[in-house]
Amino acid sequence: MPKKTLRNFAHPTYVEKPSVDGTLLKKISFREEIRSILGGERVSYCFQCGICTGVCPSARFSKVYNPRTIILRSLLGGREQVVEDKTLWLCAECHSCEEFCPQDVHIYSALTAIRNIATGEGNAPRPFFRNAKILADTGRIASMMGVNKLREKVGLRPLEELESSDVIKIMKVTGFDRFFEAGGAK
Amino acid sequence: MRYALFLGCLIPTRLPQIEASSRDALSALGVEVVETTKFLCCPSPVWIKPMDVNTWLAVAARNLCVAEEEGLDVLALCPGCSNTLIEANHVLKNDKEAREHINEILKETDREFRGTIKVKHLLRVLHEDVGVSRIEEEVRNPLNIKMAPHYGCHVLRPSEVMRFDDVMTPRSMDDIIKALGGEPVDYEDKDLCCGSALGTADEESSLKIARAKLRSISSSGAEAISLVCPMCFLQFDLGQMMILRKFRERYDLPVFYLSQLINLAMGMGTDEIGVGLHKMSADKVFEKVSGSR
Repeated sequence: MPKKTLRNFAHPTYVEKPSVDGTLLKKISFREEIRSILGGERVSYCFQCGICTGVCPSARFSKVYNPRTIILRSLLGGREQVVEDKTLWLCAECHSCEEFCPQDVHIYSALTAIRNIATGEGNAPRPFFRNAKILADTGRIASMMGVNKLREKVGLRPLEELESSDVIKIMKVTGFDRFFEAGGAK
Repeated sequence: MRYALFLGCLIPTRLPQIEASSRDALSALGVEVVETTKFLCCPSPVWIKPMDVNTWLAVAARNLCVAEEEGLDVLALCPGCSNTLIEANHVLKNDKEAREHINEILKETDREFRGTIKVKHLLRVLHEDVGVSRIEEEVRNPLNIKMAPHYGCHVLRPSEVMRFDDVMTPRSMDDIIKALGGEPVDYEDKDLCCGSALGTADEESSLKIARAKLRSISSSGAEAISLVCPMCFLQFDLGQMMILRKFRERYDLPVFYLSQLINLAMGMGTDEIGVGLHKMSADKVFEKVSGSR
């Protein structure tokens, strides 16, 4: 296992920090937890202007997704409420929020960090776990059914199978493989 | 110009016409691509990154290592792949702490990230390396149609990392369409996402996003959509059928991946660019393209 760094890439439920005497472990706030994940570092800069929600295609059409309030609740420490929130998964992945944010919060990345924490609690929707398993097994996120017949129609060679063992090796170190043992989603 | 070709998952398995037409266009324009079966899924910025950035970054780093070993820059046909690989490359090149952490993980795979290569999406290679004038030289059958360029999200954003074109008013695809003899049209919500990534969690909203775009593309007078992403392709091609079923609205706009249009303008027949695999008929458009069958 790589040594734990200050930015805890493996994001367990709470980041553990030695206290002054070096023996006791201290639980840190949800804000700190988000900031400990790659991309979540700037979440505290959010001043709630709401432009992220204003430019968000998902907010515009789904009417329930609101990136601003997700950040607000997170900054106020509502960990349980936020990680259980199903609307977390309504991000359209367009990065518009990040582009327009006047505080340069890297808001897409902060929301991704929050979804990482929710995943750690088993809260990612089922297709996410299913696709991650397909990736681990085949090296691709795709079904191979009927693929070569389709390729033949446009004169392409059959697709070769991939040697995907590196994915498993990586997932073992990052701890991702625990989701497969637990059977994935709740 | 020599690149390691990064096919990704969706294009070679579900949209092989994009792969075939891109191979044809690149070779006609003098871009050599090198194959390797060592590339795995990028991994997906839509599926894997939201679950675990740590795993996402490490698998991406591993793919970058493969290209480093070949000593080649990477050309990706899918904006999702290029987005993942460019961002991972950016993070690992600039963040020593992240690089050391990831290299520690990569020891398991006997690889080490060194940061020696670049990653580009096809659109960038066409616009910057091949160049618009070179493309123009190859045109035999000018397209003569009004074309709505849809850039999608991941080629341009986050602009701080992608550093390509103007994120608010992109011109690269417009320029190429012009070079092919087509007329690029502006339309409302040109920078809007296609909504594809939302499809799993909320199909209705996802289709509503696509419908909003189709509406404004239709009213702009465009006769076809040009794009550079397989997810966007499915969302607009297959999506138009779903929108017809769900909202009873018909748009009949043919959808093309940019390399198909290049091949068409360079004199290929309509069958050869693989439109037989599309859901939306392109016959009306082909009638207007001089010389095509």
